[in-house]
Amino acid sequence: MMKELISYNDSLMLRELGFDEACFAWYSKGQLILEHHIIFTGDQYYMRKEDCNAPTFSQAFRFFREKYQWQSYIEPTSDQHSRELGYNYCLWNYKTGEEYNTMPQNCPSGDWEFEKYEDAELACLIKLIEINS
Amino acid sequence: MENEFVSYELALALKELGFDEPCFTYYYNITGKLRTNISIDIDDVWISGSIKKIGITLAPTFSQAFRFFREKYDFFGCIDLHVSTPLHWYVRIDEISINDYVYHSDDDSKYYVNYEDAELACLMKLIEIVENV
Repeated sequence: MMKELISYNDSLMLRELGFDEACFAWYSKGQLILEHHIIFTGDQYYMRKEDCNAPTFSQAFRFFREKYQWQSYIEPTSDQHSRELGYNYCLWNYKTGEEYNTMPQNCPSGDWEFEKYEDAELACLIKLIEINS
Repeated sequence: MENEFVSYELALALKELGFDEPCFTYYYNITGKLRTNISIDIDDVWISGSIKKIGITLAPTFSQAFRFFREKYDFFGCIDLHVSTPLHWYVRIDEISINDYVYHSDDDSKYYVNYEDAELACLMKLIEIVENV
């Protein structure tokens, strides 16, 4: 369940980029705290400067879609030679046309960068933070 | 925040298909309403598959639901934006191990105006596919 939430450092970066939405949890001194009775009711809780909300991956990707027009997706694929399954990410800005992906350029199609979906998802988020910082 | 969770009806369908993982919250069967007055500690795994509570249905997030289909049924739901006329979001469902798609919403002439509509349609299609396997 906790793997739904992005890390403390990534949460701080998102806050820098303007993320300011209600979340299921927040980080206090880097420690994750679930307090969604407060979130659901809309009450406020006290946060210090080093504290921040803990968005889910879904919220983070929605934030980049809606605020920065970056669409992203993870794609499963299998290596043509070994037949091993893996994942790439692809992200593109539907306003500017800018595009990044981890599909190898000079290799046979089907090559992949990440063995697990979650690794591709995390790398994709880090790339989004990097290009928008 | 409640939009992060699949509806009660879809939560029931997922339960029928074997979804039984820790969730942030649950629905009361008697009303179909989401429990929102929750305050828990991060280490208190109060909603887990091993704790059987009567009269509730676990409320997965969309992200948990998609992971469930990837890991248990080998189906991967992908949502992307198609730059065409009209500009629309589409749904593609892949069978991961054969590295090929089994459904594309464009083939059904279904075009989605926003991401959330496509995401919901994708989840409903995944349920339909698995129920008919």
